[in-house]
Amino acid sequence: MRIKRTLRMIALTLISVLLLNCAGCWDRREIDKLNVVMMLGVDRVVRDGKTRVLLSVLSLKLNSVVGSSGLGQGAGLVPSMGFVDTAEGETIDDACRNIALRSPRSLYLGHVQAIVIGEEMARDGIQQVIDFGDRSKDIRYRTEVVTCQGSALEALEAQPEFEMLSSTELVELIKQDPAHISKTVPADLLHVVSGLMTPGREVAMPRLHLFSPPERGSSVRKGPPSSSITLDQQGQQGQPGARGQNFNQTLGVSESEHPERKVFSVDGTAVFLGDRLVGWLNGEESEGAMFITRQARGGEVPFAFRSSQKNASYAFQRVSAGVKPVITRDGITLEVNIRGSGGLSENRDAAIDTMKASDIKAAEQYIDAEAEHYCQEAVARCQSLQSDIFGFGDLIHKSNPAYWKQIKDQWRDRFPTVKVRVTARFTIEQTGVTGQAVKSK
Amino acid sequence: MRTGTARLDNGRISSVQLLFIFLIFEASTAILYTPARVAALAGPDSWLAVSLGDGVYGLVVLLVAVTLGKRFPDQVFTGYLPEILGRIGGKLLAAAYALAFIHMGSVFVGEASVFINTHLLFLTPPTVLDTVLAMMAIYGAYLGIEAIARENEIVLPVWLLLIVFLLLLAAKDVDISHLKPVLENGLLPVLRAALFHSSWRGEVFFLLMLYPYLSQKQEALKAGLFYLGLVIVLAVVVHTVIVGVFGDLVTAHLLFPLETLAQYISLGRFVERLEIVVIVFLTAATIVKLAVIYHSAGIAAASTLGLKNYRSALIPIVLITVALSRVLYGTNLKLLSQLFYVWPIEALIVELAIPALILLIAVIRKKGGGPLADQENS
Amino acid sequence: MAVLHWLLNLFGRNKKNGPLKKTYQVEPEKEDRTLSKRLDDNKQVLAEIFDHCGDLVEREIRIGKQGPRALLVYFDALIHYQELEEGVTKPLQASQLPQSGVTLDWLMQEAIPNTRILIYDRWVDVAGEITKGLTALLIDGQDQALLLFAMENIHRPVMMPQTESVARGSLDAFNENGRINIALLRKRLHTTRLAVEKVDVGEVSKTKISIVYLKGYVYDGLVEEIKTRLQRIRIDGVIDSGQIEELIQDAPYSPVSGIGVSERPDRVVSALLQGKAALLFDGTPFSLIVPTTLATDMQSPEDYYNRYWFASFIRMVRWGSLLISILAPAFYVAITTFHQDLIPTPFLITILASRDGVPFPGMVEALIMVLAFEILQEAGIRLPKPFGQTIGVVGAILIGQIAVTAGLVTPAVVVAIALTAIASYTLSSLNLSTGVRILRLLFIVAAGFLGLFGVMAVFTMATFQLCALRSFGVPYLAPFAPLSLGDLKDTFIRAPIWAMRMRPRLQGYVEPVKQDDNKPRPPRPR
Repeated sequence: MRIKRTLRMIALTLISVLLLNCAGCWDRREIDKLNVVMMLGVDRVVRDGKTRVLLSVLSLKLNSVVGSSGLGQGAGLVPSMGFVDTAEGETIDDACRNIALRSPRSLYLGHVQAIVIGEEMARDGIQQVIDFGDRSKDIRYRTEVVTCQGSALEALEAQPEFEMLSSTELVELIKQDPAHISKTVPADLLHVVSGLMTPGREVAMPRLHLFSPPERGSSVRKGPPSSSITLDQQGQQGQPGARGQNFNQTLGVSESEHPERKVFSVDGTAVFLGDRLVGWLNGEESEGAMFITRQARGGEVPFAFRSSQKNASYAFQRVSAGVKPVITRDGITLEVNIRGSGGLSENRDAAIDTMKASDIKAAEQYIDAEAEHYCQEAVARCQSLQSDIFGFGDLIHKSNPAYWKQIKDQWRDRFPTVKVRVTARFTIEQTGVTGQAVKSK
Repeated sequence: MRTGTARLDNGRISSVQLLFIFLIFEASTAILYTPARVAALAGPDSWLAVSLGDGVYGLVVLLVAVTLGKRFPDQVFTGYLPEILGRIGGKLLAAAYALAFIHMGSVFVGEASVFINTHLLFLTPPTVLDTVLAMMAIYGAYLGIEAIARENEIVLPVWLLLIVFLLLLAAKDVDISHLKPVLENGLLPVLRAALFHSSWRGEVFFLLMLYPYLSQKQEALKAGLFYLGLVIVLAVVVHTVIVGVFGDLVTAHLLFPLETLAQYISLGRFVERLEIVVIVFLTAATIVKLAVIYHSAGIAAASTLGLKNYRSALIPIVLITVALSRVLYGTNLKLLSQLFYVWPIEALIVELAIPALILLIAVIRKKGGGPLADQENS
Repeated sequence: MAVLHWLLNLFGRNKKNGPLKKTYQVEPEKEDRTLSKRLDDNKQVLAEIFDHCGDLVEREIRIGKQGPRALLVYFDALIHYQELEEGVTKPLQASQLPQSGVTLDWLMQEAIPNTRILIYDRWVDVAGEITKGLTALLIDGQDQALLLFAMENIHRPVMMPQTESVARGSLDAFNENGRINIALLRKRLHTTRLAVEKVDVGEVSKTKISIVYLKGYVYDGLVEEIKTRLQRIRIDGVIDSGQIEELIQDAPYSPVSGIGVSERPDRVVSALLQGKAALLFDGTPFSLIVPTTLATDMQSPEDYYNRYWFASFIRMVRWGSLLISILAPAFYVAITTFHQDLIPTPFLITILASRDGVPFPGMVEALIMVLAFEILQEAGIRLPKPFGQTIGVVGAILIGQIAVTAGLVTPAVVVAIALTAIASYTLSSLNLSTGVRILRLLFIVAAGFLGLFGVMAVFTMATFQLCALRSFGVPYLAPFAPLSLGDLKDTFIRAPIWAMRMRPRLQGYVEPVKQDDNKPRPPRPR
């Protein structure tokens, strides 16, 4: 009896040890075996007449710090500003696997902060990219999506100016925009997915604008010191099958030989029709779009006060907008009502006498006209592109579902004919810390 | 008072514990799987759909269960079936119920493991997940209904608080316009969604398997009514917030909208990545729910086979559920087709139609002790 | 262990004990002789019984001038000589014999000023009392022996508590003397309700265990249950209350016993007032309190002495510490090896940088650190006091500095383990913290294999076990599961004293109301 029990105990122990043995190899991945991707860039390229995906990823990369590898100096590793890998593939995930061909660490998308879509890809259709992001369990709906004017690869290679990683910089740029600038329409993955799916609404997303920094060589805005951008030996060996274009390699040789290393700014908006890029809005038009879609929270409206030039500036802080579709026999009119408040932030030549109520009132009217102008421009541009990024159709759907059923199928054709009446009412509530402007003698 | 053999488990649960057990049924898997389907059927009217049918359907099941339970206050459902239907018929039906519970168990195991496999442990074989879940649940079932009820008293309040917390955090992103237009396509799609969703309310049927353990039997109805009220509030709030954040179209194309919602939460960019909370607590909730099912299945099997101890029936039951869930509900396609198309009908038959029929027969044949049994027991 | 037990049961362990099982049999004390009237006969028996007891003293005296011979028998080490001399020998020798000759009544009433005297006529009893330190007085011509109390009080003075220190509150502790232990309680509770029932446990050691409770406060059957459980114990000797604890706890395989341990009289008194019972021991300062729940395990006596705002805050900190000390290392392992998407991006970069080149996988790393910490802690306890500091310093340097710089472990894991260690020191219950230290390892392993899913599975299992655990009939997780909202006032928070008018529902539920409405009210302003 006792022997039997002992045997049973031994058997149980063995079974549990064996069970433990087969466990634990599946999802466990040590953190240092990951290639942590911060930003994805997707481009469309043509090879031998076939279109393929060119995927570039910006991932964290650790570099040894020179001269501090002794005891007591910590691990001697600091993350560098990132490292770009690229590979081509038939599909996006195929390209991911091709990247893994040359990287011993598995690609990890759990920290992707932004997806950059190249212009070619965008014109061809972004559905593929969005579906990839939507389907992946790692990529979040909070991930920012932007369209790059140019190739996404270039955008990923661009040099961050303030943050350590260009992905962080991009996300910060997009996040702060509605609060202070309102010159681009931010879109996270959820908004893009939703825009693609919802009838009567089109996708708009920030435009990434790449350019060579005009201040190169000046002390005003220098890139990071070259010591922190170290030569990556591994990357120098170009791998077959993957079109490696390691910028570090070229940078490491010499600063002067370096072909233009671009920087980016986020301004303007990419406008889509369906999943295809059809055009861009510039900054002012974007501001108008931000007003109409109620996304603007802060920004600037320069205006001309009794002058031919813009000689004053208005910083708005709180904006709200109401859009009401009015359906008559003649067609559809959308009444956009914008209310906002803010302060005077610039007053050239003391054109506005801030002590005079009439001047303030007049200034407010100029501001209103200017804002209305922005909105009208935005609407006009979108109507010319046939793309309803404001979601007017959706609005009609929600307020008048019966009517929407009739026009649903031809909404894209109807949208350019829609009349939009914008009325803005901005009030000046502050004039900064001064009252009267400085007057030169 | 007959004890032990009639009930097979000497535990006692209070009416609050009963209420909590019902709530965990909703808060474990239903909350995860229904929003997408309801949004697909009812669109922006999801909140209406989940509040409409549930009350009525749930109330009917509840009334049947309470009336039947009152007639046999000391026995579980499968225990008194022979008394009502005669020995052979009763035993057969009891066996069928034991099988139905096993089947439900396999669905629940599948629900949890598909979810975890999709969102958390990508590469771990689902069989391992199934086994771990089932082992934990069977341990609870082994300890008895009292331990399960107490465990649930820890899991459920924390989990509900977390849901409320998550929903509050998500509330910032709710766009009320996503809930419009109301009743765009008339009442019919909403009713279809309501019919689908209300099948989850039928789980109040498990009162029949828990009734003998209830210490204050007169409060069963009250607990059931509270449950219906609370669960409707919960479902409405959850569906509203999910549709409010995502819109009905996006919600409908997601597999686990609640999970994606938790993923989407971001407050000041440091309160984020909260989805793990959902996964972890859903795991706990599912284990508790499974434990109840296993307990009921064990009791049903034991009372059918005339075993003295339901615990010896547990191991085979677990093995069967794990194997079944692997074969039948191993992938989310198979699972969803079960949940969306088969389960409402199954629930209607198992949880409402047959008990109602049994009640009818019991009334006609004048079986069961009637309301007097209450005093005898308290 | 409970899990193992359950597994064993599942695999059909036969509950009937096999024939190999041995029953416990102590050499029965065959002594059934009674005392004889002749002193010499008695002397012979004495020599037989106390064979080999070299420290037995037999001193023959004569009562009065011409009185009968008498024999004082005692153990050398247990006797207070002066007391014996002043209280027994001298008065006996100097006494005037009455007319009726020496009778026991005369001895007890007039001759011996000793305060407490027992009379026995069976050798078993006499010998038993002598082993306890009493002095036997055998008189020629009497077949009964007088047992006199003239004991040496061998005990430490009442000292400060060693394990449960507080900043505010009484500073005395129980010690190894059962009489002093009871005295400490009697000095705090001047009532006839304070009942003390004594049970001897241990066939050889015959350790005296006092069951202490307040009559009318304990719920029905508690004391009987304790007595039955104690009397069921058949064992050679009881060295410490820990043994008794293991022998009377409800669930033999449970990692936590559901029995409170304390060396503080104030804690015991407050437990008694809550309607619990306490077991005081001869030979150990650690008393047992039953029933004990998780909530009471988490309380510190100081909670009731501090302001309630602060006490509530500290309570919550302590509950948080409980979770941290169980889960923190497991959580670390889970998020670094399974759920990297949970780590905020900037922190990820830091961990990534520090983990590069560390040879061990996260789970092994955490296990090594936890074990290293346990080794340090154990060494700290075993070391002679003066060296304690050294171990602290060496440990800190070894683990905190060198292991990290040598690249053996990451700084993050050091932080996690250090936090765990510190958090575990906030637990005031010794029993709980030992349970936690074991569970912690289990959680780390679970996290290493299945991530947070595994942690949650084990957590659910552990809570299942605790839910099923009872402490003398009271559910261990009492105010939470089963939930009773009113009793939560003394768990995560500590309500003001005047607000706690009702006793907890499941324990001490004899009189529901504990106190009058004592809420302080300022006098009306004049």
